[in-house]
Amino acid sequence: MLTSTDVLRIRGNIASILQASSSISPVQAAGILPIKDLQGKLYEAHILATIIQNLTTLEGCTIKLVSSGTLTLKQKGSPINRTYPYFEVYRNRALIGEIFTDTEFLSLSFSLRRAKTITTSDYHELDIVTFSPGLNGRPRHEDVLLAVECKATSVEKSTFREVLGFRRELALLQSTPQKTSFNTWPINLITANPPSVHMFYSIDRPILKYKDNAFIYGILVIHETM
Amino acid sequence: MTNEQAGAILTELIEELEANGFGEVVRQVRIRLEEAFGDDGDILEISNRQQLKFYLSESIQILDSMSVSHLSEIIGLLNEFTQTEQPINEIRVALINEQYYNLSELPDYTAIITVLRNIQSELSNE
Repeated sequence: MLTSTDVLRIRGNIASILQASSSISPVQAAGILPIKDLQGKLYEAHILATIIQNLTTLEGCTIKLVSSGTLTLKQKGSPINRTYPYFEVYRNRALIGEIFTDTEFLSLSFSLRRAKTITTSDYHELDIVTFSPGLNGRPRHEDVLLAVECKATSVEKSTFREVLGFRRELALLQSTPQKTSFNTWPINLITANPPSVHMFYSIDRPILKYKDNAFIYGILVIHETM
Repeated sequence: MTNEQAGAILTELIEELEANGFGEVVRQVRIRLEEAFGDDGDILEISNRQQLKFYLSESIQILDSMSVSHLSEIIGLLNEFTQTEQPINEIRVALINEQYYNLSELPDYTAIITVLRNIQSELSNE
């Protein structure tokens, strides 16, 4: 049973450590970039490392880093930019895909409306994406092999609705599972056409309550902590 | 630990987080609280003890996810599973103003996390 002295000591410990840490608080650390964005970039780097590890150990791929040294993530998405480091994915010495971060793709709705000009509503940014090899600019939705979104902050129900909308711009629901570009990891069959794999990683455990619904649409929801 | 004692510690935690620049942590915990208990409409009925334990565990995880302490492990993993002539030695973010933010400049919240974990441990049997 806690005594009143214990409560005072615990409160004092909380106050002391937080006051002593105020100079490195999120408000101070953020600078020109909000702390939740920095938190997101750190998590994105963690997920990128996890994906590369899994493609290597579970899928049997070889990953080569191109333009190495400093890995550069982007605050804002862009078309493919090969001046920044990216990754080549090989299976049995054949190049099967290229991994980029914070990169845009042309949406399914853009393809269906057959527009001649591209507006901001026609493309979306993926945190981590594997495209078919050799592409430039904003690849089409059919060129997406693996689409990955990372969420480092707390998950709300609206987050899941956003994920569903994203999936809609990548592929249509296909009742018969289609073969993906992968044999084992992340998955070999998916209920989507084209058969891109859409993964949503969240640091927040409650995302798992949406897992079964997401899978219906070919979205793999994964709770991953750092 | 009585409900009143838990309430006093919880209030201290929230007020000190807010007062010292950690309001983002409180904001994220509140969203998680709503997600965890909001479905049944009984968010207002959870005890101070439950709320305190929730705030402690979630604050620890949120601070951990903002902390630089994982960076070397991430870089190590990237280098372990990629073939390259020049290993990755740092990770930076290209900002929209054409400047860069090196993730090694992120704060290290290990000291706060240690204190909160000690309190969590002390209260676990209460």
